[in-house]
Amino acid sequence: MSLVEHVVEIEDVHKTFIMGKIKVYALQGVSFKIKREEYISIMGPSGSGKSTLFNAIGGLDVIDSGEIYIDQVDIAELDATELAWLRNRKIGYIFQTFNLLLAFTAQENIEIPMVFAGVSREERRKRSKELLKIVGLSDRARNKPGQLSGGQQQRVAIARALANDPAIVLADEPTANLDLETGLDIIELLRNLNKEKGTTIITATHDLKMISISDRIIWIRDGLVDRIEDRADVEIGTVD
Amino acid sequence: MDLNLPEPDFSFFEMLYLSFSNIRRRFLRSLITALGIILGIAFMAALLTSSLILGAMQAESGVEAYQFWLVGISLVVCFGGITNSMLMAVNERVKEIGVYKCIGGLDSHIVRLFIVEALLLGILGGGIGGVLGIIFGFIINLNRFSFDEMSVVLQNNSIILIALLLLSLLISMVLTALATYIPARRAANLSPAEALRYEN
Ligand SMILES: Nc1ncnc2c1ncn2[C@@H]1O[C@H](COP(=O)(O)OP(=O)(O)OP(=O)(O)O)[C@@H](O)[C@H]1O
Ligand SMILES: [Mg+2]
Repeated sequence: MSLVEHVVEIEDVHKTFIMGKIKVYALQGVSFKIKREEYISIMGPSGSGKSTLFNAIGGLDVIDSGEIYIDQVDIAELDATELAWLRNRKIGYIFQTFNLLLAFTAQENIEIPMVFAGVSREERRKRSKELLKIVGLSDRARNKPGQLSGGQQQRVAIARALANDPAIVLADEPTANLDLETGLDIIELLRNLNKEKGTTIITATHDLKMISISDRIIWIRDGLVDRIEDRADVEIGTVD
Repeated sequence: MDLNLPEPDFSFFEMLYLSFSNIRRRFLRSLITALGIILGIAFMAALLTSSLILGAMQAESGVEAYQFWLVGISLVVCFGGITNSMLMAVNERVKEIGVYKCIGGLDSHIVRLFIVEALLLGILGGGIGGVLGIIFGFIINLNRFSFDEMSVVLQNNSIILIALLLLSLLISMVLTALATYIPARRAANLSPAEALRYEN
Protein backbone atom coordinates (compact mmCIF):
# COMPACT_ATOMS: atom_id res chain seq x y z
CA MET A 1 0.00 0.00 0.00
CA SER A 2 1.28 3.42 -0.87
CA LEU A 3 1.12 6.19 1.68
CA VAL A 4 -0.63 8.57 -0.62
CA GLU A 5 -4.02 7.32 -1.53
CA HIS A 6 -4.66 7.60 -5.23
CA VAL A 7 -8.30 7.61 -6.12
CA VAL A 8 -7.56 7.48 -9.84
CA GLU A 9 -4.52 5.93 -11.42
CA ILE A 10 -4.12 5.55 -15.13
CA GLU A 11 -1.22 3.88 -16.82
CA ASP A 12 -0.20 3.96 -20.45
CA VAL A 13 -3.73 4.30 -21.78
CA HIS A 14 -4.17 4.02 -25.53
CA LYS A 15 -7.28 4.59 -27.55
CA THR A 16 -7.46 4.64 -31.32
CA PHE A 17 -10.56 5.37 -33.33
CA ILE A 18 -10.74 3.60 -36.65
CA MET A 19 -12.96 5.08 -39.29
CA GLY A 20 -12.59 3.09 -42.46
CA LYS A 21 -8.98 3.51 -43.46
CA ILE A 22 -8.30 6.43 -41.20
CA LYS A 23 -6.93 5.86 -37.73
CA VAL A 24 -7.16 8.58 -35.13
CA TYR A 25 -4.73 8.07 -32.27
CA ALA A 26 -6.76 9.86 -29.62
CA LEU A 27 -4.75 8.62 -26.61
CA GLN A 28 -1.19 7.48 -27.13
CA GLY A 29 0.00 6.34 -23.73
CA VAL A 30 -1.40 8.59 -21.03
CA SER A 31 -0.36 8.04 -17.41
CA PHE A 32 -1.02 9.99 -14.21
CA LYS A 33 -2.28 9.63 -10.68
CA ILE A 34 -4.88 11.65 -8.85
CA LYS A 35 -5.02 11.91 -5.08
CA ARG A 36 -8.18 11.85 -3.05
CA GLU A 37 -9.80 15.27 -2.65
CA GLU A 38 -7.81 16.82 -5.46
CA TYR A 39 -9.30 19.26 -7.92
CA ILE A 40 -7.79 18.47 -11.29
CA SER A 41 -8.22 20.29 -14.57
CA ILE A 42 -7.36 18.54 -17.78
CA MET A 43 -6.55 21.14 -20.38
CA GLY A 44 -5.46 21.07 -23.96
CA PRO A 45 -6.39 22.17 -27.43
CA SER A 46 -9.48 20.93 -29.21
CA GLY A 47 -8.99 17.40 -30.44
CA SER A 48 -6.16 16.68 -28.01
CA GLY A 49 -8.05 13.79 -26.43
CA LYS A 50 -9.69 15.29 -23.34
CA SER A 51 -13.14 13.84 -23.90
CA THR A 52 -11.66 10.49 -24.84
CA LEU A 53 -9.73 10.54 -21.59
CA PHE A 54 -12.87 11.56 -19.68
CA ASN A 55 -14.74 8.58 -21.13
CA ALA A 56 -11.85 6.27 -20.33
CA ILE A 57 -11.48 7.35 -16.69
CA GLY A 58 -15.21 7.16 -16.15
CA GLY A 59 -15.54 3.70 -17.62
CA LEU A 60 -17.85 5.10 -20.27
CA ASP A 61 -15.86 3.69 -23.16
CA VAL A 62 -13.50 0.78 -23.63
CA ILE A 63 -9.81 1.49 -24.12
CA ASP A 64 -7.43 -0.40 -26.37
CA SER A 65 -4.64 -0.91 -23.87
CA GLY A 66 -3.35 0.38 -20.56
CA GLU A 67 -4.85 0.29 -17.10
CA ILE A 68 -7.30 2.41 -15.21
CA TYR A 69 -7.62 2.02 -11.46
CA ILE A 70 -10.41 3.61 -9.51
CA ASP A 71 -9.72 3.18 -5.79
CA GLN A 72 -7.08 0.56 -6.62
CA VAL A 73 -9.56 -1.48 -8.63
CA ASP A 74 -8.72 -2.17 -12.25
CA ILE A 75 -11.95 -1.28 -14.01
CA ALA A 76 -11.17 -3.65 -16.87
CA GLU A 77 -11.76 -6.45 -14.37
CA LEU A 78 -15.28 -5.32 -13.56
CA ASP A 79 -18.27 -7.06 -15.08
CA ALA A 80 -21.27 -5.17 -16.43
CA THR A 81 -23.07 -5.06 -13.10
CA GLU A 82 -20.02 -3.81 -11.24
CA LEU A 83 -19.41 -1.17 -13.89
CA ALA A 84 -22.99 0.01 -13.57
CA TRP A 85 -22.49 0.16 -9.82
CA LEU A 86 -19.32 2.22 -10.33
CA ARG A 87 -21.16 4.67 -12.56
CA ASN A 88 -24.06 4.76 -10.19
CA ARG A 89 -22.32 5.30 -6.85
CA LYS A 90 -18.65 5.95 -7.26
CA ILE A 91 -18.53 8.49 -10.07
CA GLY A 92 -20.80 11.37 -10.93
CA TYR A 93 -20.69 12.64 -14.52
CA ILE A 94 -21.28 16.13 -15.81
CA PHE A 95 -21.35 16.78 -19.55
CA GLN A 96 -20.96 19.78 -21.74
CA THR A 97 -24.40 19.12 -23.20
CA PHE A 98 -26.01 18.32 -19.83
CA ASN A 99 -27.55 15.03 -21.01
CA LEU A 100 -30.63 15.27 -18.85
CA LEU A 101 -33.63 13.04 -19.46
CA LEU A 102 -36.03 15.38 -21.21
CA ALA A 103 -39.19 13.52 -20.25
CA PHE A 104 -38.60 14.03 -16.56
CA THR A 105 -38.68 17.01 -14.21
CA ALA A 106 -35.56 18.41 -12.57
CA GLN A 107 -36.36 16.54 -9.38
CA GLU A 108 -37.04 13.26 -11.17
CA ASN A 109 -33.79 13.57 -13.11
CA ILE A 110 -31.99 13.78 -9.80
CA GLU A 111 -33.95 10.86 -8.40
CA ILE A 112 -33.38 8.37 -11.20
CA PRO A 113 -29.80 7.45 -10.20
CA MET A 114 -31.25 6.82 -6.75
CA VAL A 115 -33.96 4.64 -8.26
CA PHE A 116 -31.20 2.53 -9.83
CA ALA A 117 -29.46 2.45 -6.46
CA GLY A 118 -32.58 1.10 -4.78
CA VAL A 119 -33.12 4.12 -2.52
CA SER A 120 -36.60 4.33 -1.04
CA ARG A 121 -39.11 6.80 -2.37
CA GLU A 122 -39.18 8.95 0.77
CA GLU A 123 -35.42 9.05 0.98
CA ARG A 124 -35.21 10.04 -2.71
CA ARG A 125 -37.69 12.87 -2.23
CA LYS A 126 -35.77 14.16 0.73
CA ARG A 127 -32.35 13.92 -0.86
CA SER A 128 -33.36 15.38 -4.22
CA LYS A 129 -34.86 18.37 -2.43
CA GLU A 130 -31.63 18.88 -0.51
CA LEU A 131 -29.61 18.68 -3.71
CA LEU A 132 -31.89 21.12 -5.50
CA LYS A 133 -31.36 23.49 -2.63
CA ILE A 134 -27.58 23.10 -2.81
CA VAL A 135 -27.58 24.00 -6.51
CA GLY A 136 -30.04 26.83 -5.90
CA LEU A 137 -32.99 25.44 -7.83
CA SER A 138 -35.54 24.68 -5.13
CA ASP A 139 -38.19 26.63 -7.01
CA ARG A 140 -37.60 24.70 -10.23
CA ALA A 141 -38.12 21.15 -8.97
CA ARG A 142 -41.13 20.54 -11.18
CA ASN A 143 -39.75 22.04 -14.37
CA LYS A 144 -38.54 19.84 -17.18
CA PRO A 145 -35.14 20.51 -18.77
CA GLY A 146 -36.79 22.22 -21.74
CA GLN A 147 -38.16 24.86 -19.40
CA LEU A 148 -34.78 25.64 -17.85
CA SER A 149 -31.90 27.79 -19.01
CA GLY A 150 -28.56 26.21 -19.89
CA GLY A 151 -27.07 27.18 -16.56
CA GLN A 152 -30.05 25.79 -14.68
CA GLN A 153 -29.89 22.55 -16.64
CA GLN A 154 -26.22 22.22 -15.78
CA ARG A 155 -27.08 22.71 -12.10
CA VAL A 156 -29.64 19.92 -12.34
CA ALA A 157 -26.96 17.78 -13.97
CA ILE A 158 -24.59 18.56 -11.11
CA ALA A 159 -27.25 17.68 -8.57
CA ARG A 160 -27.88 14.43 -10.44
CA ALA A 161 -24.17 13.67 -10.45
CA LEU A 162 -24.20 14.05 -6.66
CA ALA A 163 -27.32 11.94 -6.13
CA ASN A 164 -25.56 8.90 -4.71
CA ASP A 165 -22.78 10.85 -3.05
CA PRO A 166 -19.93 9.86 -5.39
CA ALA A 167 -16.27 9.98 -4.40
CA ILE A 168 -15.33 11.35 -7.80
CA VAL A 169 -17.03 13.89 -10.01
CA LEU A 170 -15.98 13.87 -13.64
CA ALA A 171 -16.92 16.86 -15.72
CA ASP A 172 -16.31 17.27 -19.45
CA GLU A 173 -16.32 20.98 -20.28
CA PRO A 174 -19.10 21.76 -17.82
CA THR A 175 -18.96 25.48 -18.59
CA ALA A 176 -18.44 25.40 -22.35
CA ASN A 177 -22.10 25.98 -23.23
CA LEU A 178 -22.60 28.70 -20.65
CA ASP A 179 -21.96 32.41 -20.53
CA LEU A 180 -19.15 33.82 -18.40
CA GLU A 181 -21.28 34.61 -15.36
CA THR A 182 -23.12 31.30 -15.33
CA GLY A 183 -19.85 29.48 -15.92
CA LEU A 184 -18.41 31.14 -12.82
CA ASP A 185 -21.41 29.99 -10.77
CA ILE A 186 -20.87 26.42 -11.91
CA ILE A 187 -17.16 26.57 -11.11
CA GLU A 188 -18.00 27.98 -7.68
CA LEU A 189 -20.39 25.09 -7.11
CA LEU A 190 -17.76 22.53 -8.03
CA ARG A 191 -15.17 24.22 -5.87
CA ASN A 192 -17.46 24.23 -2.84
CA LEU A 193 -18.22 20.58 -3.38
CA ASN A 194 -14.51 19.87 -3.43
CA LYS A 195 -13.75 21.97 -0.35
CA GLU A 196 -16.73 21.04 1.79
CA LYS A 197 -17.27 17.40 0.99
CA GLY A 198 -13.81 16.50 -0.21
CA THR A 199 -15.13 15.14 -3.48
CA THR A 200 -12.38 14.52 -6.00
CA ILE A 201 -13.10 16.62 -9.06
CA ILE A 202 -11.69 16.05 -12.51
CA THR A 203 -12.74 18.44 -15.24
CA ALA A 204 -11.74 18.48 -18.85
CA THR A 205 -11.91 22.09 -19.87
CA HIS A 206 -10.86 24.93 -22.11
CA ASP A 207 -11.95 27.36 -19.46
CA LEU A 208 -8.97 29.24 -18.02
CA LYS A 209 -11.15 30.34 -15.10
CA MET A 210 -10.78 26.79 -13.84
CA ILE A 211 -7.05 27.18 -13.38
CA SER A 212 -7.18 29.37 -10.29
CA ILE A 213 -9.17 26.79 -8.35
CA SER A 214 -7.45 23.63 -9.55
CA ASP A 215 -4.87 21.89 -7.39
CA ARG A 216 -3.14 20.62 -10.48
CA ILE A 217 -3.49 21.06 -14.20
CA ILE A 218 -2.79 18.22 -16.56
CA TRP A 219 -1.98 19.55 -20.00
CA ILE A 220 -2.79 17.19 -22.85
CA ARG A 221 -1.49 17.49 -26.36
CA ASP A 222 -1.98 15.05 -29.23
CA GLY A 223 -3.11 12.27 -26.94
CA LEU A 224 -0.17 12.58 -24.57
CA VAL A 225 0.43 14.29 -21.26
CA ASP A 226 2.33 17.42 -22.17
CA ARG A 227 3.05 18.53 -18.60
CA ILE A 228 1.48 18.53 -15.16
CA GLU A 229 1.51 21.74 -13.17
CA ASP A 230 0.71 22.61 -9.59
CA ARG A 231 -1.44 25.65 -9.14
CA ALA A 232 1.35 27.52 -7.42
CA ASP A 233 3.49 27.32 -10.55
CA VAL A 234 0.73 28.48 -12.81
CA GLU A 235 -0.39 31.43 -10.78
CA ILE A 236 2.98 33.06 -10.97
CA GLY A 237 3.61 32.54 -14.64
CA THR A 238 1.25 33.29 -17.46
CA VAL A 239 -0.78 30.66 -19.18
CA ASP A 240 -0.23 29.59 -22.76
CA MET B 1 -13.34 -0.15 -3.38
CA ASP B 2 -16.02 -1.91 -1.45
CA LEU B 3 -17.91 -3.76 -4.09
CA ASN B 4 -20.54 -5.17 -1.80
CA LEU B 5 -23.13 -4.85 -4.47
CA PRO B 6 -26.39 -3.94 -2.85
CA GLU B 7 -28.94 -5.23 -5.30
CA PRO B 8 -29.53 -2.38 -7.73
CA ASP B 9 -32.76 -4.13 -8.56
CA PHE B 10 -35.72 -1.85 -8.52
CA SER B 11 -39.30 -2.86 -8.16
CA PHE B 12 -41.75 -3.56 -10.93
CA PHE B 13 -43.76 -0.67 -9.60
CA GLU B 14 -40.89 1.79 -10.14
CA MET B 15 -40.47 0.39 -13.61
CA LEU B 16 -44.13 0.88 -14.40
CA TYR B 17 -43.96 4.39 -13.01
CA LEU B 18 -40.94 5.37 -15.13
CA SER B 19 -42.45 3.80 -18.25
CA PHE B 20 -45.77 5.45 -17.67
CA SER B 21 -44.11 8.83 -17.13
CA ASN B 22 -42.21 8.39 -20.35
CA ILE B 23 -45.37 7.66 -22.31
CA ARG B 24 -47.26 10.51 -20.72
CA ARG B 25 -44.52 13.01 -21.22
CA ARG B 26 -43.79 12.05 -24.77
CA PHE B 27 -47.51 11.91 -25.28
CA LEU B 28 -47.65 13.05 -28.89
CA ARG B 29 -44.83 10.77 -29.95
CA SER B 30 -46.36 7.86 -28.04
CA LEU B 31 -49.70 8.61 -29.66
CA ILE B 32 -48.16 8.36 -33.10
CA THR B 33 -46.48 5.09 -32.20
CA ALA B 34 -49.76 3.80 -30.76
CA LEU B 35 -51.54 4.94 -33.91
CA GLY B 36 -49.18 2.83 -35.99
CA ILE B 37 -50.04 -0.18 -33.87
CA ILE B 38 -53.76 0.57 -33.94
CA LEU B 39 -53.77 0.89 -37.73
CA GLY B 40 -51.90 -2.36 -38.25
CA ILE B 41 -54.09 -4.33 -35.87
CA ALA B 42 -57.32 -2.69 -37.03
CA PHE B 43 -56.51 -3.51 -40.65
CA MET B 44 -55.96 -7.14 -39.78
CA ALA B 45 -59.01 -7.39 -37.51
CA ALA B 46 -61.24 -5.69 -40.11
CA LEU B 47 -60.27 -8.13 -42.84
CA LEU B 48 -60.65 -11.13 -40.56
CA THR B 49 -64.08 -9.92 -39.44
CA SER B 50 -65.07 -9.24 -43.01
CA SER B 51 -64.06 -12.69 -44.14
CA LEU B 52 -65.90 -14.18 -41.19
CA ILE B 53 -69.06 -12.41 -42.34
CA LEU B 54 -68.52 -13.30 -45.98
CA GLY B 55 -67.78 -16.89 -45.07
CA ALA B 56 -71.02 -17.20 -43.11
CA MET B 57 -73.13 -15.46 -45.74
CA GLN B 58 -71.79 -17.38 -48.67
CA ALA B 59 -71.69 -20.71 -46.90
CA GLU B 60 -72.55 -22.49 -50.08
CA SER B 61 -69.76 -21.00 -52.18
CA GLY B 62 -67.22 -21.17 -49.37
CA VAL B 63 -64.49 -18.68 -48.62
CA GLU B 64 -62.94 -17.41 -51.76
CA ALA B 65 -59.22 -17.59 -52.36
CA TYR B 66 -58.74 -13.84 -52.58
CA GLN B 67 -59.92 -13.51 -48.98
CA PHE B 68 -57.03 -15.63 -47.80
CA TRP B 69 -54.77 -13.35 -49.75
CA LEU B 70 -56.29 -10.33 -48.11
CA VAL B 71 -55.83 -11.77 -44.65
CA GLY B 72 -52.24 -12.65 -45.52
CA ILE B 73 -51.57 -9.13 -46.71
CA SER B 74 -53.23 -7.67 -43.64
CA LEU B 75 -50.93 -9.69 -41.43
CA VAL B 76 -47.89 -8.47 -43.34
CA VAL B 77 -49.07 -4.86 -43.09
CA CYS B 78 -49.76 -5.29 -39.41
CA PHE B 79 -46.34 -6.85 -38.71
CA GLY B 80 -44.58 -4.26 -40.82
CA GLY B 81 -46.45 -1.32 -39.34
CA ILE B 82 -45.89 -2.28 -35.73
CA THR B 83 -42.27 -3.30 -36.19
CA ASN B 84 -41.52 -0.09 -38.02
CA SER B 85 -43.19 2.07 -35.39
CA MET B 86 -41.33 0.43 -32.55
CA LEU B 87 -37.94 0.34 -34.27
CA MET B 88 -38.21 4.04 -34.97
CA ALA B 89 -39.32 4.79 -31.45
CA VAL B 90 -36.26 3.04 -29.98
CA ASN B 91 -33.85 4.38 -32.56
CA GLU B 92 -34.77 7.92 -31.59
CA ARG B 93 -33.84 7.15 -28.03
CA VAL B 94 -30.39 5.56 -28.18
CA LYS B 95 -28.91 8.69 -26.63
CA GLU B 96 -31.38 8.40 -23.80
CA ILE B 97 -30.21 4.82 -23.28
CA GLY B 98 -26.68 6.23 -23.04
CA VAL B 99 -27.82 8.63 -20.32
CA TYR B 100 -29.45 5.81 -18.36
CA LYS B 101 -26.19 3.87 -18.59
CA CYS B 102 -24.14 6.83 -17.38
CA ILE B 103 -26.23 7.18 -14.25
CA GLY B 104 -25.88 3.53 -13.39
CA GLY B 105 -28.72 1.73 -15.12
CA LEU B 106 -28.03 -1.93 -15.79
CA ASP B 107 -28.54 -3.04 -19.37
CA SER B 108 -31.29 -5.36 -18.22
CA HIS B 109 -33.03 -2.53 -16.36
CA ILE B 110 -32.90 -0.27 -19.36
CA VAL B 111 -34.18 -2.95 -21.72
CA ARG B 112 -36.96 -3.84 -19.30
CA LEU B 113 -37.89 -0.18 -19.00
CA PHE B 114 -38.34 0.04 -22.75
CA ILE B 115 -40.23 -3.25 -22.95
CA VAL B 116 -42.68 -2.31 -20.22
CA GLU B 117 -43.29 0.92 -22.09
CA ALA B 118 -43.75 -0.96 -25.38
CA LEU B 119 -46.13 -3.43 -23.76
CA LEU B 120 -48.26 -0.63 -22.36
CA LEU B 121 -48.52 0.81 -25.86
CA GLY B 122 -49.02 -2.67 -27.30
CA ILE B 123 -51.96 -3.45 -25.01
CA LEU B 124 -53.53 -0.08 -25.68
CA GLY B 125 -52.95 -0.29 -29.45
CA GLY B 126 -53.95 -3.93 -29.74
CA GLY B 127 -57.17 -3.44 -27.75
CA ILE B 128 -58.30 -0.31 -29.54
CA GLY B 129 -57.15 -1.62 -32.91
CA GLY B 130 -59.00 -4.92 -32.42
CA VAL B 131 -62.28 -3.25 -31.50
CA LEU B 132 -62.02 -0.67 -34.29
CA GLY B 133 -61.13 -3.39 -36.76
CA ILE B 134 -64.17 -5.49 -35.93
CA ILE B 135 -66.45 -2.46 -36.21
CA PHE B 136 -64.84 -1.51 -39.48
CA GLY B 137 -65.07 -5.05 -40.85
CA PHE B 138 -68.79 -4.85 -40.14
CA ILE B 139 -69.22 -1.45 -41.79
CA ILE B 140 -67.46 -2.29 -45.04
CA ASN B 141 -70.00 -5.06 -45.67
CA LEU B 142 -73.06 -2.90 -45.07
CA ASN B 143 -73.54 -2.29 -48.77
CA ARG B 144 -73.75 -6.00 -49.41
CA PHE B 145 -75.74 -7.35 -46.50
CA SER B 146 -78.28 -5.85 -44.15
CA PHE B 147 -77.33 -4.72 -40.67
CA ASP B 148 -79.61 -7.32 -39.08
CA GLU B 149 -78.26 -10.19 -41.15
CA MET B 150 -74.72 -9.41 -40.13
CA SER B 151 -75.65 -8.88 -36.49
CA VAL B 152 -76.98 -12.41 -36.39
CA VAL B 153 -73.75 -13.73 -37.88
CA LEU B 154 -71.66 -11.89 -35.34
CA GLN B 155 -73.86 -13.03 -32.46
CA ASN B 156 -73.53 -16.63 -33.61
CA ASN B 157 -69.79 -16.23 -33.78
CA SER B 158 -69.23 -14.22 -30.65
CA ILE B 159 -66.60 -16.67 -29.42
CA ILE B 160 -64.64 -16.20 -32.60
CA LEU B 161 -64.86 -12.44 -32.18
CA ILE B 162 -63.53 -12.65 -28.65
CA ALA B 163 -60.75 -14.90 -29.91
CA LEU B 164 -60.05 -12.30 -32.58
CA LEU B 165 -59.75 -9.59 -29.94
CA LEU B 166 -57.42 -11.72 -27.87
CA LEU B 167 -55.40 -12.52 -30.99
CA SER B 168 -55.14 -8.78 -31.71
CA LEU B 169 -53.86 -8.17 -28.21
CA LEU B 170 -51.44 -11.07 -28.39
CA ILE B 171 -49.99 -10.15 -31.78
CA SER B 172 -49.70 -6.53 -30.75
CA MET B 173 -47.94 -7.33 -27.48
CA VAL B 174 -45.57 -9.89 -28.95
CA LEU B 175 -44.64 -7.66 -31.86
CA THR B 176 -44.17 -4.48 -29.86
CA ALA B 177 -42.10 -6.30 -27.25
CA LEU B 178 -39.94 -8.04 -29.85
CA ALA B 179 -39.50 -4.99 -32.04
CA THR B 180 -38.41 -3.09 -28.95
CA TYR B 181 -36.28 -5.77 -27.37
CA ILE B 182 -33.96 -6.25 -30.34
CA PRO B 183 -32.93 -2.62 -30.92
CA ALA B 184 -32.99 -1.75 -27.21
CA ARG B 185 -30.74 -4.69 -26.40
CA ARG B 186 -28.39 -3.65 -29.16
CA ALA B 187 -28.30 -0.05 -27.95
CA ALA B 188 -27.81 -1.09 -24.34
CA ASN B 189 -24.85 -3.20 -25.40
CA LEU B 190 -23.06 -0.11 -26.65
CA SER B 191 -20.68 1.54 -24.25
CA PRO B 192 -22.29 4.62 -22.67
CA ALA B 193 -20.00 6.90 -24.68
CA GLU B 194 -20.98 5.24 -27.95
CA ALA B 195 -24.67 5.44 -27.09
CA LEU B 196 -24.36 9.14 -26.24
CA ARG B 197 -22.58 9.79 -29.53
CA TYR B 198 -25.23 7.99 -31.52
CA GLU B 199 -26.84 10.08 -34.23
CA ASN B 200 -30.04 9.01 -35.87
N1 LIG C 1 -16.06 8.49 -31.93
C1 LIG C 1 -14.99 8.94 -32.56
N2 LIG C 1 -14.69 8.46 -33.77
C2 LIG C 1 -13.59 8.88 -34.41
N3 LIG C 1 -12.74 9.78 -33.94
C3 LIG C 1 -12.98 10.30 -32.74
C4 LIG C 1 -14.12 9.91 -31.98
N4 LIG C 1 -14.11 10.59 -30.81
C5 LIG C 1 -13.01 11.38 -30.86
N5 LIG C 1 -12.33 11.19 -32.01
C6 LIG C 1 -11.07 11.86 -32.39
O1 LIG C 1 -10.16 11.69 -31.34
C7 LIG C 1 -9.43 12.89 -31.13
C8 LIG C 1 -9.63 13.34 -29.70
O2 LIG C 1 -10.97 13.74 -29.54
P1 LIG C 1 -11.55 14.30 -28.18
O3 LIG C 1 -13.01 14.43 -28.36
O4 LIG C 1 -11.08 13.44 -27.09
O5 LIG C 1 -10.85 15.73 -28.11
P2 LIG C 1 -11.09 16.89 -27.03
O6 LIG C 1 -9.76 17.20 -26.47
O7 LIG C 1 -12.17 16.54 -26.11
O8 LIG C 1 -11.54 18.08 -27.96
P3 LIG C 1 -12.55 19.27 -27.61
O9 LIG C 1 -11.79 20.21 -26.74
O10 LIG C 1 -12.86 19.86 -28.93
O11 LIG C 1 -13.73 18.69 -26.93
C9 LIG C 1 -9.93 13.88 -32.15
O12 LIG C 1 -9.01 13.89 -33.23
C10 LIG C 1 -11.26 13.34 -32.57
O13 LIG C 1 -11.52 13.66 -33.89
MG1 LIG D 1 -14.10 17.25 -25.72
